[in-house]
Amino acid sequence: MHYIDCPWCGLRDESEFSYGGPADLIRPTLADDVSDQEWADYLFTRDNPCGEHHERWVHTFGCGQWLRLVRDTLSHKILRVDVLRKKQNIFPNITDERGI
Amino acid sequence: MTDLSLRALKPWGRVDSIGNDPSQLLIQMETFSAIVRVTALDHCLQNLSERLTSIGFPVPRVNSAVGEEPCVIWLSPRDFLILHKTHPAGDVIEKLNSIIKEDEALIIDQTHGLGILSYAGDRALDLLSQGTSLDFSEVSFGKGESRRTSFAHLKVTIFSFQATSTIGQNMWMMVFDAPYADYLSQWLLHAQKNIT
Amino acid sequence: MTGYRLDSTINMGSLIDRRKSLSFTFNGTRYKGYEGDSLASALLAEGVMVAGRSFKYHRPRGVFAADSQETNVIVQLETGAITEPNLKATQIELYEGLVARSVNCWPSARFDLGALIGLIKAFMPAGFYYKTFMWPSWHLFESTIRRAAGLGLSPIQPDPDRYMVQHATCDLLVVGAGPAGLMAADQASALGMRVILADDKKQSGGSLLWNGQEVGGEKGQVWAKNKAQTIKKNLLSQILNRTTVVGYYDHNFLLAIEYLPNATGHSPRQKLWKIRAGHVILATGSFERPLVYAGNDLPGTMLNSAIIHYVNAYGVAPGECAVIFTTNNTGYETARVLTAMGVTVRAIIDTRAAVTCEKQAWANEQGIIIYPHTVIKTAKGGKAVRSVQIEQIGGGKCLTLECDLVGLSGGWNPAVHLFSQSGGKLEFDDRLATFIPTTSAQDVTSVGSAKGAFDLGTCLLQGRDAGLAAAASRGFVGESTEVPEFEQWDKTDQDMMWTVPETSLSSAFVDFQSDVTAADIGLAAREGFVSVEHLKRYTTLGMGVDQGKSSNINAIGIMGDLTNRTPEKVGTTKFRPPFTPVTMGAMAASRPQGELLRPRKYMPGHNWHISKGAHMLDYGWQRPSHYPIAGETMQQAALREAKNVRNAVGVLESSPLGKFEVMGADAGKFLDHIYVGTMSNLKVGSIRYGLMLNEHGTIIDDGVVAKLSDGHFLLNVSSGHADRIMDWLEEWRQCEWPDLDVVIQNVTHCWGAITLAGPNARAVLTALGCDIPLKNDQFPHMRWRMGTLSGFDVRIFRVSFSGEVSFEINIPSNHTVELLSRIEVEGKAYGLAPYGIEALDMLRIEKGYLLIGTDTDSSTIPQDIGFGRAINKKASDFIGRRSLKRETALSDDRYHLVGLMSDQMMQSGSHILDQNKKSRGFITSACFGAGVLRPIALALLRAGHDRMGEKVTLYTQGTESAATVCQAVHFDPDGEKLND
Repeated sequence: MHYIDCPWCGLRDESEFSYGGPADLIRPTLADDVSDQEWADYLFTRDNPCGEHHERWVHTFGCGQWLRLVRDTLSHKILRVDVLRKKQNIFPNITDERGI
Repeated sequence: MTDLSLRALKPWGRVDSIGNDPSQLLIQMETFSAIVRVTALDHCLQNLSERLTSIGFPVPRVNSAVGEEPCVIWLSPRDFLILHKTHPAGDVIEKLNSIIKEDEALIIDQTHGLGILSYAGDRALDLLSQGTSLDFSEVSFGKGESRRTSFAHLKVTIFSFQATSTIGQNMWMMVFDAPYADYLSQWLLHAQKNIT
Repeated sequence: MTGYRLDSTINMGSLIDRRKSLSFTFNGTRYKGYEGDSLASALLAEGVMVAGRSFKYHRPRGVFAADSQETNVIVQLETGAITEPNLKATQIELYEGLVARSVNCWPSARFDLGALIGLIKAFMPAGFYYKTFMWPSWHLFESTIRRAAGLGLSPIQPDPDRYMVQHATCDLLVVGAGPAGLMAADQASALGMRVILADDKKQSGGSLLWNGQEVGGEKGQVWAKNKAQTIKKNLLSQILNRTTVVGYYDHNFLLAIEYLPNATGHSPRQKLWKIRAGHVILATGSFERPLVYAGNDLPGTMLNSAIIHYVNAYGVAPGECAVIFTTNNTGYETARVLTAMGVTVRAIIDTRAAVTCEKQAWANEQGIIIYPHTVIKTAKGGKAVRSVQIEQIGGGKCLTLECDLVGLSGGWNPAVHLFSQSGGKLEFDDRLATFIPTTSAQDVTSVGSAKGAFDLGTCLLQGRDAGLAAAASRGFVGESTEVPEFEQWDKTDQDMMWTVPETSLSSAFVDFQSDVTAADIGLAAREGFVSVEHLKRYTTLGMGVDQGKSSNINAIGIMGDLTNRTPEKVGTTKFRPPFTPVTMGAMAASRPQGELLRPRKYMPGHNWHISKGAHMLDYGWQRPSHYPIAGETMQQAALREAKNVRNAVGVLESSPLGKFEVMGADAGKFLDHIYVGTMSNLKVGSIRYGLMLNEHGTIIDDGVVAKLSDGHFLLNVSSGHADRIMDWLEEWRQCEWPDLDVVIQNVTHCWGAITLAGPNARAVLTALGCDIPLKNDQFPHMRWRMGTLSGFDVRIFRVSFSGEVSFEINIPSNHTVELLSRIEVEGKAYGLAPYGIEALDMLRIEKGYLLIGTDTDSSTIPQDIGFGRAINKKASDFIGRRSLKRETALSDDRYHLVGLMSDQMMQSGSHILDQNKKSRGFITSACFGAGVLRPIALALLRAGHDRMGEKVTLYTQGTESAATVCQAVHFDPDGEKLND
């Protein structure tokens, strides 16, 4: 059971999250007018690296935010966790005040 | 099948205490007259802190439950809950509408959709640690902090209340979705029996 | 000649309480033991030699070990609902009235009919079943073999016991409360760490509980007890006894099972600990391994360390006349202990060539003969060992020695299971002749004999240092605790001997429980199964309840010898949790049986439905399926309720419908991306039906969107998966279109929803007092209004799933029961009656209103249900749009949603056949139409849109019937009633 350091909520059990596939899929738009094969690649073809994998997860039972993880598929070490898109930190973090 | 007194608007009352000793474990339904959820658009978030201060409301802090009347609980980078024990939701919403325009944020009365329980007592953590893996140690989860997590397979927000409970101990509150009230009470009764 | 209880003056037995006598029953015979005994020790004390029968050959077996590595005495504990199969007698704490039976024998262990199999043993080597029982058909032999196979009986009644889950986060988890573990936990807790120390025994001490060693000038057991007390004084630390850590997972997450004594029906029997540790110290000790020679499985043959264990811990001498066979010094310690107890030790058979003068002198004193450079070639006996035949290595003198107890010491294997599960690597140490841990993959340290340190001093030191290091790495600093003085007892200096030379391999057992012999390993090698994973599966070696703890390493060594590979090259099989068997109830503890299995949702109006006699079912929420009156069946009630909706007015609670408020300057644009239809041009006050697709073009939801105000929409999505759709919307909003100015809030639980449907619906609203104009021209179908109803602030949506004039009243949910009561009162005059989900289903089927997932499947696209036209008109992209242009999406032969008519009642699931009796489609929903008053159905039929009016054959589980294809809308196809 992975221990994932959500940028908002801190370290939490994997069971609080849902996996969302690879992090850097580019969705072809209507204007791109892709072929059936290219569309099928977008839907189905995935890299399966042994090693670093960039993936997205969402913190379903926590803040509900989508995150980007870099995870080693062999050792299961989580190398990095970030928010998926821009991070707005409008509200100060309690830990800033506590100096942790 | 139990009587869903939660829905009949009667206070839920104590779920149970261990051997009728509330200093061991006291679970109570907390009645808040107002629970309002604010979901703000980006342009509103920019100066929201100042606006809230101007009406005397606490400013949300990440993973925190700030203030008492009202108490503001952070839910996500753009969501927070405002709890008030005595003022009705309409009043809270009116105050918020005075600083936030209709097209800047969703300000919705969630009082009917949520339930809040409080947990206090020496054995409270023995109960809570059956339902969630959250670390409740002082150093990880201090007073005035809040956590969204899973509890008994439900999505909940647990916050450590600033004030101490009526029995003078640490108290945790838990916000949950009201339709699960009966399931949650059954779960708590079951879990409480596991504490010896 | 058998085992017996030593007199208390000779050895009290450190773990038993001689004042508390217990009686128990084993294989039908009553015996006596003491509190503190294990079932095995009590049986030994009572002279029971044959306590089990082996799996395949039904050979008589006796107690072999003293803990989780026991392979022979496997029992069925108790009977009835609480019976537990395949427990090791060495791990059962004796209690008053215990009842146990050996598994796999009949009528008893001593006289087992199954032993007749021994006569054809030669025809049943490893893997024999891959080559036999195949002609003419496996099924001929199957039932007989199934009856004979297996160990123990599964309980057939529900488990009445309670189990619980406990989550824990700690700075340090120490596994094993032996000398090393105690030192580590003591050091770490003294420095302020949150420590959990787990040990599978009743009390802390590990091997100190039975090996008689002294620590710091006091008896090991006493030292351990005091150390445990010191640790417990730290409020942040806890010691869990009777707790086995069974699994090591990712990121220092471990599972442990705590066995709680004296469980009643109301208190839990086992606790599943889910532990997240900052650092883990494994002080798990080591397992002794046996030697492999012909007849090494005869009752009376035990591990030497087990003999010491039974003598010291339980005051039991396992025999009267012993022969010790050893490759290292453990044998000598055993001989010393036995001699001190007055047990005759005939000889020490030492494989090593050199014997120290010390040892020789001591042996001479005791009258024990040491045979260096010698092995036991064969053991003889029927139901117990009677004698052993010994021989010098390399041939030569052969001698027969009579005995009733044989002690074996083939070496020591560090318990590396958890370490390996954590991803750690092992290497084979030639000097220690075993696998030891090397590189860790997580925050874990091994100490003590688990790391290959077999002397007490090193164990104590390593434990203390590991505790210190763990503390330092997490910022806890302070003084180090002292390492006490200790008594040295060296287990090093040993031989490596996987099989005794010149022994008969076919009765030289490697895995006792699975009856795998050295010959079987040879067979596997010859057949090409030389990979260690193949060896395991081909021979079933290591697959018993002891999980190979007494057999794996010997097997690796033997296979290595056979294939000219070092043990390291052969390697170990993958270590997987659990370390010892775990009962299902404990693993499922977080989902107690019955009502707590998964979260249940109740509607705000629940109590009102109960008061109306509703029969509730789980539709994702607890909802009324029907409201039976006077003995009605569900079908009868549903039909009556549905007819009442068509003819008068019905009331149904629709609170579970998902409700989401979507707001922002780009809200319309966002919804245009989500829905097939266009929502951005929706007028305030209007409602539009919409389909949501996934990227495959599959319909995942159908619902309605209402425009509340500028840039502000309310979505209604299917009740069953509202939460999932909310997640779906947030995923696209956050990930794909984060720059759109839009936010979403789930308000499903805030609003109770009550639907009034039927020709008299308006009248009831009027009677309640409604300030909203209700006539059709003022409030048409697919509009919403805000106002007051019976004094409550409400939103009313004119949407219909029944096909009648229908008003869905949204009211703050706490007022739902009150409003329902008032509706009931005012509705009486208009024939109002409640209707349930079954009735609703009947009503919607005859209107052709589909249910996603029932009338559609994972391939259904909008064109299939007749919504193709809308797509071409739409300008913007939406989820799934590209998939609708795929070749298969444009095919003519797709499954289309159609209706079916028939004289007979139809069933969902029935197939629609073509002339060649091939299935061309299937019925998705069927009922007796409350409006049309005849049997109707909805179906998915290939090219259905082109087959209107066609007569088809239905196939339902063997019977055929006739039906006619028609439009999906059976009742009021022009929607006259709807737009009234």
